[in-house]
Amino acid sequence: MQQITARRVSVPMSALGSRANRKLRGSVSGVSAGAAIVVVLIALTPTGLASGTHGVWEKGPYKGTTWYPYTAVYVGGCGSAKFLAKPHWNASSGLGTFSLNGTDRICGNKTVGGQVINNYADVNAQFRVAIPLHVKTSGAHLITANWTFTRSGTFLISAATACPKPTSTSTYWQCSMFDQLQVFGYANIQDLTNGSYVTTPSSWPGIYYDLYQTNGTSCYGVGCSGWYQYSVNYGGWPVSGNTSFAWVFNASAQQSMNASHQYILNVVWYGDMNTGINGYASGTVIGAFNMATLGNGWKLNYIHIS
Amino acid sequence: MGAAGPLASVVMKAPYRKTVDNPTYSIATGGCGNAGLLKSPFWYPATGTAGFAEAAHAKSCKIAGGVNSDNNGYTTFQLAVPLKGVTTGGHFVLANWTMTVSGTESVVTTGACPYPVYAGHYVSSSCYAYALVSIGGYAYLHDMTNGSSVYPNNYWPGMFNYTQEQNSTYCYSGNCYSSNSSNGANGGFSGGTTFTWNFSATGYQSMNASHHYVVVVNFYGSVVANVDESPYGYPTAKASAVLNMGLAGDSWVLNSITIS
Repeated sequence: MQQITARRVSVPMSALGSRANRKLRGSVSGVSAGAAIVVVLIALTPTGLASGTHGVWEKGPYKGTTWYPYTAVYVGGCGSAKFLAKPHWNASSGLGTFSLNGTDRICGNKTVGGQVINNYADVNAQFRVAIPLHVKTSGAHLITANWTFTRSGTFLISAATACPKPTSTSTYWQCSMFDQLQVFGYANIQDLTNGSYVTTPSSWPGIYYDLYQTNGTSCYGVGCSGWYQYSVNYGGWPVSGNTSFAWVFNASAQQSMNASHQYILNVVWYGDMNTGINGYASGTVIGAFNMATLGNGWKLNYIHIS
Repeated sequence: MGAAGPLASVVMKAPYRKTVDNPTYSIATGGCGNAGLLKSPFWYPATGTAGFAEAAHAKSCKIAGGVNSDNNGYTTFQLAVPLKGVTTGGHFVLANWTMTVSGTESVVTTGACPYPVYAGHYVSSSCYAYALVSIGGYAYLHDMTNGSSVYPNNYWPGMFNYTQEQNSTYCYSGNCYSSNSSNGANGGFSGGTTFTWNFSATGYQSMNASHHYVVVVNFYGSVVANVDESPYGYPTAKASAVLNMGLAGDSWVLNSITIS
């Protein structure tokens, strides 16, 4: 326990919450409620850490950070894809944002060469952030990047149940609506000096949501009908909410860190809103994912190197 | 029943009423650069004119860790032009058009592609620059009544130009290996081109006056500008591609459709 009181611990306020912060501030020189938090940190410390090594907290502003946006839109027929907010990273606050919107409507159900014109809008955004890590000692380290993800998703599919024949001689045709959201992120630590990487076993579950309806018809008999609809979150987190998680990197053994090397934490966030409607007599699809306003975003709470 | 054919040629010219058009586009931007539509895909049935214009640019970000600056545009327009005056029997259908277009692309890099210090475990580096401008098109004659299609006897090869440069190094077991490659050359295409798609709707593909026919035309154009670097990149690198078939008088014009 002597090691605990010897450590210089700068606690990120956003990571611990106000109640924990108050407790820690009142006991930083002693062993009280704050020690429980520090004990957790000690438990996470890998064996073989150089003697005398102190944990290092990094929190905003993340000086020296570089970031790059990536965007793509795919539009056909009467679809519209928009960025209500393009991907952006604020190095001061550690907040990453973007907002995606796709809308589609039936606009005449025209055909080109017998094929119904597809109405679709696919809009995706990502940003890559490279955050310098300040590794002050050589040896094994445990690096934790803690985030809070606040977002909201809106999905609407609405169509007439009629799925008309595209041509008078059609024997099979299909109408469909889809409203799909995919969000994921990943991270690694890159040693810029020797080109090696440290990956993390902490996999963020992401969001994989699909709202889908189809009317398929085969008129080989008298029953020219068929209708199917599902709404499913394939995994990960709900499309709306506020959740925290952490990537943990164990830079030990042959991946032990060197204080003379330059390291960065690479983080990539990706979101895609894919919407479309085809074939129905009428209808509308709306998909919106907000990770930019009303306090939403990917917030880097802190990076801890122990 | 319609009249028996073949009869005298029917020549259709603008305006092409009741033509259905279907434009699409995709634009992707990333890293250091941009891409976009300079002119959204359009179709004017009154004159039989269609077109679009797009551009993409990328450059080295010069940032440790490496950045892929991938900037691309892909645009299409699709037309279904109804045929008039079709008689029952075998026919030849000619779709004649003129395209006035310009496309340019270039890749310019300087210096070598540095790689990290080899310290006993695997090390790699890569520098890649690529630019492409292309345009292509195809067509078919479609029977809307029975769903069958007749494909042309000839094809239009399209136009494209690309440049690629790549340098990479990897090190392991005490040795480092480097490779360089370069393909294509900076350049492009420009000017006017006239072409005719020739369909033989004969034999079992003979036409029926009671059916509804369309000539379906598809054109697609691409611009690609990529500068991908890991972990350091070229000292300087730029890639650029521009395709114009919609501005400053450039366009695609359907001159006529002849049924004989």
